[in-house]
Amino acid sequence: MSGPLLEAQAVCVRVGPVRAAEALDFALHPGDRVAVLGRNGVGKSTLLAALAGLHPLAAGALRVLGRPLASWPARELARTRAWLSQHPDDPFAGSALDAVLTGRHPWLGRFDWEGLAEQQLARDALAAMALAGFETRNVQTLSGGERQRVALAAVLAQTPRAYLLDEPLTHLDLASQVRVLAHFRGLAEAGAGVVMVIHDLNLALSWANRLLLLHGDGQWECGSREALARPETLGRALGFPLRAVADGEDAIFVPMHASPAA
Amino acid sequence: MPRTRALVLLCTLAALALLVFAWALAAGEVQADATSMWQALAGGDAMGAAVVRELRWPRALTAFSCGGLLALAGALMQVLLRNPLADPYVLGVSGGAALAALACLLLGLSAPWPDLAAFGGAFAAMCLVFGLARGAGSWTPTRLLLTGVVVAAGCSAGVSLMLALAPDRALRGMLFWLMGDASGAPRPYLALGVLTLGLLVCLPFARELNLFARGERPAQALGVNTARLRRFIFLLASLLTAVSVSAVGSVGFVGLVVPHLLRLAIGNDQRLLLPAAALAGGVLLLAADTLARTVASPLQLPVGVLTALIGVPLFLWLLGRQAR
Repeated sequence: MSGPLLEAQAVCVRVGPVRAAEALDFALHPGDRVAVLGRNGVGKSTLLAALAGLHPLAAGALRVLGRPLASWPARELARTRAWLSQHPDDPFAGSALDAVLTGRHPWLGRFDWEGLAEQQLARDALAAMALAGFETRNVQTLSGGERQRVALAAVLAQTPRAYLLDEPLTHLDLASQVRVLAHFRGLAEAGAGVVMVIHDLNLALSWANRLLLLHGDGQWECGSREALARPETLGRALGFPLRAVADGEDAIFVPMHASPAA
Repeated sequence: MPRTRALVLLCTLAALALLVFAWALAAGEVQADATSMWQALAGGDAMGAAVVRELRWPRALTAFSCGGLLALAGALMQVLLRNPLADPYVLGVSGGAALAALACLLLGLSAPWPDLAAFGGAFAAMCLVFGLARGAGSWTPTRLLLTGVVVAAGCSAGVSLMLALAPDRALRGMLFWLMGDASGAPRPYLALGVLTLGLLVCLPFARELNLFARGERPAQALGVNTARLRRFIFLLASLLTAVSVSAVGSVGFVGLVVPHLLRLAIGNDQRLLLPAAALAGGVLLLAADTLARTVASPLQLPVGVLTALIGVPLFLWLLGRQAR
């Protein structure tokens, strides 16, 4: 399929007094790796939830695989797009495997139980997040980073085509951050589309091929990484002056006053 | 796998239920052995058959069914509020029931009016809480919980006022109603029917409840119609509680302790937890009721006092264990 997985046309997303995006045109194609950048409270999470169909649009239209979002049955939609919450929450004790198996829900009939195939998928997802052997661990006793990777494994077990991930790198150590980004890069190369809210600018630039910048008050900019990775543009989105430091291979962006040369 | 363990637990609970039933039918002033019990239930008219058939059997059935109703309602409320410390009464359901039932007792109305009023009061409190909590549009477990707590406090004040105003002759009945009492045993088959039906209608949604317990929006993202499910749980849990409250008064701790204990034993998969809660709740309340009427015989203790006496230390122990 060559059409977009997810398409927003003239979409306006608001929450309370915050205007996250006004007249947003955005398409997520297979292979896309999109990083959403912006300051705190600018509406990144709300925008992501709206793209997932979990927050009402103030205006505009969303299409998933060319079909209007509203016409999708909820379970069928859940087989096509996954959404990762920014705040995984476990009021009840339960095993990590059970938490990951929740991702299989949309694939199971009402009276089906998770069979061996589902269990294997869940184990593989845990292993992909470097959590092999954690199957029987109680999620309430895991560290924040481990808990976050369990949530990511549940999203992987959902096997959707579009991934909408709200701060998937929260609480992760550097090695896990790199591993998670590599895994989702692999999924994108295999035909998935991935959108991530990320706060680490340089990690975001190392991973994404497209950027969606939220400037606040509904203003946005979307384009390829090459087009938008300029100190002025990124500095405007993040609300702090930046400068680029390049070693010929990579360029990283550092805050102006924090740089030793400043 | 814990699944086999859970099935073993369900069978064990069912066997335990049968045993406790046998005990409940046999124990009391008039002792009954296995054969006379069976004859009594089959309609014989041997010595004591009438006692077993017309007093103990409906009472046992009522206690078992109401225990099951309370535990099932508790398990559902805990999912709804995403809080393992929620119980069937937390949303003011029992407060509304008590207020209405005591008003009937105060006015000197006799059966079935207090029971009917209890049901109506429970239903009214439930609608009030859900309506108020939804008022501003946004709906969170915290908001619902707070609304419930406040409505329950209001009802409790009303109950205290009525107790203060009540003449002495009405007071004893009112207090017994408040403490929970299965001796009246009105309509035992209704409670059992509602329990069975309630279990049957919530089991198809059990996996969705598992997701709901992990958060409303994540559940929605996985294809669960959370708005509908939330209304469904709230209504069902309130109805189950109302039926139980109107039959045996407000019996505490069954709805809180039973799901909690089971969660420690078999985990939080509602597909197993809900039927297990119905069985274990029934067993607990039936055992407590049998104790209540035999331990200080001929004096009958209110069963709510016994469940609380069992429930309080058990719960504190659980809580202490969890904190570690």
